[in-house]
Amino acid sequence: MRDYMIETHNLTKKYGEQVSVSQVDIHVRRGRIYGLLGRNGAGKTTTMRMLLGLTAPTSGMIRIFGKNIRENEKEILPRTGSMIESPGFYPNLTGTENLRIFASLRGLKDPARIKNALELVNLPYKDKKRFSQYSLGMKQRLAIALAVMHDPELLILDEPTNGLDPIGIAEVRDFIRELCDSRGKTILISSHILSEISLLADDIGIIDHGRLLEEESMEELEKKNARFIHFGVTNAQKAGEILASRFRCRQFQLEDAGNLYLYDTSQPVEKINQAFVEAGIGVREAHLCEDTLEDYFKRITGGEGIA
Amino acid sequence: MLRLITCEFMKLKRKPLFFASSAVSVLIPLAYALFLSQADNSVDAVQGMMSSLFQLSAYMLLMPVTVVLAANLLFEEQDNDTLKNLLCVPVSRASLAVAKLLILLIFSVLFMAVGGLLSLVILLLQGWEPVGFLPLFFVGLGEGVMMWAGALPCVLLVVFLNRSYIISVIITFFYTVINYTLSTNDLFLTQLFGLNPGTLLPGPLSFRWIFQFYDNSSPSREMAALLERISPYFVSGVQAFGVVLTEAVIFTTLIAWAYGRKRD
Repeated sequence: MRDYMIETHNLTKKYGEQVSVSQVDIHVRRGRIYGLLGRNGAGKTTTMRMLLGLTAPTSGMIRIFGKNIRENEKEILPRTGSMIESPGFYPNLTGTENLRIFASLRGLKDPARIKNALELVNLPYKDKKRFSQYSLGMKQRLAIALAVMHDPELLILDEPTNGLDPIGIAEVRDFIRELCDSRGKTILISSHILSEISLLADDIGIIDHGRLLEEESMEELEKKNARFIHFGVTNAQKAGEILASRFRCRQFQLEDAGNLYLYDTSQPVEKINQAFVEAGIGVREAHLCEDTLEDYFKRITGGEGIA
Repeated sequence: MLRLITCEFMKLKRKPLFFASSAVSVLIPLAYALFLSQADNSVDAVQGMMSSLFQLSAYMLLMPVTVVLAANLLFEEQDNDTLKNLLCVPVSRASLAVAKLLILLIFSVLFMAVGGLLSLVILLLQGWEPVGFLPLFFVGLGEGVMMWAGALPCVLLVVFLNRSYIISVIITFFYTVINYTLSTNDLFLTQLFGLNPGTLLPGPLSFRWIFQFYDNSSPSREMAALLERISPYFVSGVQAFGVVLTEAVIFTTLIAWAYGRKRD
């Protein structure tokens, strides 16, 4: 039995007739970064809100630290740090003053906690700038500081790099990685930016139109999709039939009438080529390719890519 | 709860609303001192100033300002999108509402304290002796508690309507006018202590408690007639604050419930 920090079963959320999240089964393993990948409006934020008890699920089960979130909020939430949607703070207070309020509510007496959290995200301690005067990037950093200030075991971060510049994105990425690798934290992050997830996540869940389409480790995903042989042919349909009948291979995809992608790279390319030519199919090109996460995402969701 | 209240005070930094609203209590005593005072002696001067605080300031200013401040405090978290951060601590919506209502109680008492102290300063500046001021000052603080409890039904409506501004303003206006009108109406001032508007509404109830603390040793003819009519219906401190406490508990519970209703 794997050690899951977060586990959901048939998690569903409906708003009237509209289904926002449908029967999602997520498994977030201890000490790993789980990337929840999906387009805008796919259901990532709604799922995270349900995990934190901010939104009541219509049905389904959520277990965090092995306990049901609904009955054990007081035990679970202090061990969890979160950042959901846009940063929410009091505009008339400085960053330090805002964190001081939440530190007080969490029973954190040591002011060094606030100082350390702000230093981690490169925000000044005891600055005079009020939150209303912060840039979007500063607001986002403050939200991250709030999430980590009380040193939680589990972090749930909704698009943590949103609004950050490229340097900031790289810093936050390194920071999240360091939290996991050096401090053993478990982190669930959501994003619609493929490159972020591919650079950061150990495990990935692809969510689309409220449904979790795939859930696997990045290693498995890379093994599955690292390579394929691209055949440029005059009749892809007929080429596919030959692969299925003569080579007993169905691990291919007809991209269009003139292109076929063969995912089983162990097949003998020269014999396939010969078989195509003998069947009267012209072969324009045959070469080895690497699938990107974007291609994989398009294939899985059947969509046109990321919003 | 103490931690929540402390945090509520921390949120008020650089937000002048709370303290400016308390300062509004100086308006009526000041206006009275400048334009209306006709006292011949210190006793009348003190009573005149304090009665302007009790019967004008408390009803016409404190009541509506309390409701406006309540709406500001209760919907602050929604406006700033900070509610999700609080809920993840976790802090319950209901306990947050109770903490904010207790801040409101402090405000209400502070309002009457500021008004009372300013009245004292004006009296001293005018050369009057503060004869009988101290008991009336504490009566003022008590009235602050009564007005706070009396504002809670209005606050409940505002929370229930989820802060529809125009409707909130209309409700507050009518509630203020009704309370003031009823507090000067014999029909309600002469009701026996019981389940009736004369007992349950803050206007008449506070009048029936406060009026016995004035120095009525040598009343004018009008005052003597009024006393004859209403003095049998004065309520004791125990009766007054018994009603106030009961109403406060009921409406605070209802407000906490209304505030705590999840919206999705």
